[in-house]
Amino acid sequence: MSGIINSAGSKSGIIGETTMRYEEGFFTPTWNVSVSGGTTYGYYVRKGNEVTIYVQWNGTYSGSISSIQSLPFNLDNASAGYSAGMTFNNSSGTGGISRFEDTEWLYTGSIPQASGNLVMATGSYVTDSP
Amino acid sequence: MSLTFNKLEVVSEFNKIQVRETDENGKYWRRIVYPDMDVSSEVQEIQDKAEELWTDEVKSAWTTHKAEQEAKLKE
Repeated sequence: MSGIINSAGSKSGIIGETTMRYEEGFFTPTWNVSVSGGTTYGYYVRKGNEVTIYVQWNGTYSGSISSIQSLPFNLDNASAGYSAGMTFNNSSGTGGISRFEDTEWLYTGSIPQASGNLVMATGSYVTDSP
Repeated sequence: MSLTFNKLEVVSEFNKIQVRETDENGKYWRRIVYPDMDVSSEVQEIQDKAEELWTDEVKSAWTTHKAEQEAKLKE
């Protein structure tokens, strides 16, 4: 709590303020599969210790995508496996349950290669970084 | 796109180096450098921090941890 209470007892300034870290920016996601071409886009918003990431990619890959790597902030392992949600969209369909594990964002299934690939995902996790 | 080193933070028991850089528009870019990575092409600040913190013990612990994680994920 912070603020100023003057001698007359009236309130001024900010009462009950909690300083919360906020940051937004970009990162370059990598994948568990070989990729070529396309545009990779990674955006993050950090509020306090919560990090939300948005990923989009439209290149060509071989195999099936099952994880996104190169997270922007370190994952708090205490929250691993609990703090994720993900949706993939491509011409093969959408949806999915996912989780974060240490350095990776894992999809419980896999996203098969499809024509007109557009992979989009968003999810949140807790970081233990300062 | 050209990125300029902005700051680093050390995280976790494995002394991962979390790096923040800025682009020409002042936007932030984030990435994490792990103890098994080659830092020879990184800026001097990162190389110095890696040299300081990434002892053989830390590198070994990270390698073991990674292997354990990969094995766990395959289960």
